[in-house]
Amino acid sequence: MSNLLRAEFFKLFKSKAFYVCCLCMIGSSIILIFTYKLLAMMYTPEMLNAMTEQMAGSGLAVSGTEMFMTDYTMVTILPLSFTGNTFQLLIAIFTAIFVAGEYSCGAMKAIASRGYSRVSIFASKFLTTAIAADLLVIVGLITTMIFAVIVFGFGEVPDGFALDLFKLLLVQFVLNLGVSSLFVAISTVVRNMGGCIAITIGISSFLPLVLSLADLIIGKILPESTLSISSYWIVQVIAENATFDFTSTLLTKGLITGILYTLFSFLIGAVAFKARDIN
Amino acid sequence: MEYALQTKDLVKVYPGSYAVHHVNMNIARGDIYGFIGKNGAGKTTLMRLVSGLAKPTSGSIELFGSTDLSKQRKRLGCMIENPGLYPGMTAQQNLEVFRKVLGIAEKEVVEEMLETVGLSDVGNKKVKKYSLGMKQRLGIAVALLGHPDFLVLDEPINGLDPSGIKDVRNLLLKLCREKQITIFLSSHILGELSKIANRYGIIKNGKLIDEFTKEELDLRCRRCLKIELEQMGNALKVLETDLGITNYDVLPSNTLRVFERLEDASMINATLVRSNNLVKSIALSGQDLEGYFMDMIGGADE
Ligand SMILES: Nc1ncnc2c1ncn2[C@@H]1O[C@H](COP(=O)(O)OP(=O)(O)OP(=O)(O)O)[C@@H](O)[C@H]1O
Ligand SMILES: [Mg+2]
Repeated sequence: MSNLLRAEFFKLFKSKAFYVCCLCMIGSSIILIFTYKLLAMMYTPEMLNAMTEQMAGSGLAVSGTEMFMTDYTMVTILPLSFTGNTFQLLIAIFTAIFVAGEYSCGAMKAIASRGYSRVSIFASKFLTTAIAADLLVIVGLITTMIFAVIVFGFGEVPDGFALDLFKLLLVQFVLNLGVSSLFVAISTVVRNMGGCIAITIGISSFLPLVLSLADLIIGKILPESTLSISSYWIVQVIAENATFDFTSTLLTKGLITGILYTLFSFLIGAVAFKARDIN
Repeated sequence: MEYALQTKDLVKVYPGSYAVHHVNMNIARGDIYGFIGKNGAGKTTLMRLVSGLAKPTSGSIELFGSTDLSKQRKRLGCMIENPGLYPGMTAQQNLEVFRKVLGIAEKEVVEEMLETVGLSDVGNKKVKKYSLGMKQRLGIAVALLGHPDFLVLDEPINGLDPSGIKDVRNLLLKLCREKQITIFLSSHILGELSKIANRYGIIKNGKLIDEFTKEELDLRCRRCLKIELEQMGNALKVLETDLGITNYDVLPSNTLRVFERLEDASMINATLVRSNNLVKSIALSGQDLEGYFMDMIGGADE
């Protein structure tokens, strides 16, 4: 297993896809900062809030109304960098290339025929991708911090900032681990790079819709139920947890969601990898 | 006898077809086993079962006399169907990955392997820029990493140029001779296979229809040295007493057919000439593996 991990890390740091995704991370973080700068220059908070109400009125869901404020500083922007789904999309694309690509080129055969157990091969792949995903998040965060400080300044540090920051990073790392696990499982089942990327795009654009529909149907069938499936969709949970105002329920839900996605994905991926022949 | 591989009633079913049909195969240690069969006969499938890439539907596999396959598979080096390489990496980096996978401490093995397969001067070129034959060579290098005791090579000379084929042949023969490595290889190039293998198996529609040694093949094909003499003289006596050859027959017009010591043509020639039996011609003749194979499976399917 440690041999496999060593090989996986060697591959990770030799993989062009990883560096390209890092660059995309840096690029999108910088663009985000300048978007906020533009917003702050062009609109007053009143105008933005009016717009938000209009959008809410038209039925479009907007996660977190506090997105629209104009007193941006590094401290206030940091949590916002987790909203939107750039991180998840990049993690998904990287995973498709790193995991499914291994099947496409046939290298998985050369590894799997050397007597390693299927589970240990899958686990090493899983772990490496998870670490790569969190590295990508760190790259995005650091870029955001640097550029936010340059553009807006550091900002006033509120009481308990260190603890809040710790909570934010913890829950976001765990949730992004869930995202990477989910896509490792998908890549292991699909085993085809193009297919994986297509599914990724499908998931990020259609799944929220499908889940909302499911909520509506549940509401129709069980009018008393407060169950909302879509609120457990990991991207949704990530957006909810992109804040410094943690309630313990929010934090717990975030951590549990992340851990469940990770465990389930590991299970599904490992079983799929063990059961099927390698072509 | 010690076996590297034994399969018992091995079966692999794909939806709608038997890719491997109750195969009982035995490969002794030190053998070079040539595996022959038409496209779709089941060669690759059987090799995938042996290497653990596919699971048998039923039946069992023993490697080195043991059923603890994941342990024994650490002694395997495989290249199945195509060399599994990372196209975005150089040859060195590819070998480096597998060096790590196998936990080999010595970094020099990477260069050694490149040297062995003749890729030293293109070792830092990306594999996606390699030709088919270069990839094939690198695939063999990957299979050879870690000094396996048992090589499973599916069409290893596919795509190699004539000198590449010769290199691989010499390499395999050397490995077998010097390190007693067992080799299980398939190929459609039967002429080449017959220069390497000492045992053969023929698979047809998933069934192992025949297994034979090189000697048996020679016998069955009645491979012989055809010796044409100026005149008979005391040639038969020389054959029997000086050379110890008893397995021969005599054809009309001063021609002998010798069925043993087929590799010793020049020696037989020299001995005959020394005893004043002038040799007009001496040549190997008879059916070869290809002809035999065509006879075995080429005919109408049952
Ligand atoms: N993954 C698979 N799914 C379904 N059928 C398969 C699969 N792999 C192989 N087969 C079938 O099993 C049979 C044997 O195929 P195999 O690849 O072992 O043949 P082969 O002897 O290696 O042929 P070739 O000389 O063309 O390489 C074929 O009929 C093939 O269609
Ligand atoms: Mg084949």
